[in-house]
Amino acid sequence: MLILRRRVGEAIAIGNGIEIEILEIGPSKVKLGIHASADTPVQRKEMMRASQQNRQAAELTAQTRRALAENLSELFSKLPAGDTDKNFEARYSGHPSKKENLEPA
Amino acid sequence: MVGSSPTLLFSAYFGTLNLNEAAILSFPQGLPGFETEHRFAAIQIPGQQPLVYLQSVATAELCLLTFPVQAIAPNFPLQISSDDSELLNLAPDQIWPESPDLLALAIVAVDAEIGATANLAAPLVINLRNHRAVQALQQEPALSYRHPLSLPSRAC
Repeated sequence: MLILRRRVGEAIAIGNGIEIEILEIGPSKVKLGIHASADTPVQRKEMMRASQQNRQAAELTAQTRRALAENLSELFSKLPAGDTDKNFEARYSGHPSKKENLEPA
Repeated sequence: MVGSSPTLLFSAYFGTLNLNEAAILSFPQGLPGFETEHRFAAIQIPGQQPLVYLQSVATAELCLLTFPVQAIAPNFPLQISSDDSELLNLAPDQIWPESPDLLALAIVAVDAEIGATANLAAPLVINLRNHRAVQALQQEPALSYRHPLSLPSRAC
């Protein structure tokens, strides 16, 4: 492992086109600025597992999602309900209205 | 945030939606894996409670299926780190699980081997006072990224 000492305002360069700048140093945290091209994925390392899981969750086809939703509704209808859902509903009282006739003329 | 201006939104699954701004959640850091996606509409379908669909405002094809973690784990031990708490602008009185203004949603995925799963290790935590949301990693090792959901019949 390469170890470097850097001060606020200094930076390191990785390969061509990736730069990491030290923006701020606190007692237990550093704030980094990362310059990289838009197609370079940059994320906190501990989020990698969540990212991967989110991408898998987004792959559901419309058909699978519909079947899943029906099955889950059925599953939850058999379980004792928490009160959180009611709170959520109270906040989002307006169900989205489907307006398929809003196509631009 | 604008109070009640309606937002037109295009969804590959729900068609054109005319939503109240209040139904839109903002992810200050984007959604992990989709870092450029900052705004999602929370959609509930009558008869499908407590499911919540999160439809991306920017991408018609991006829609996640979620439900409140308590639906399968009534005493879910949600931990919110100080960083996440800051991102959510949590007030001192917003404490899990007492506060009615805090929501934790598990994202549903389908695993080739396990079948339908819910992500309990990294729920989406939403501050309902300001509609800010963050994916909050849990330190509790017993919580799984792929918690199996035992469905009444196989969904796929």
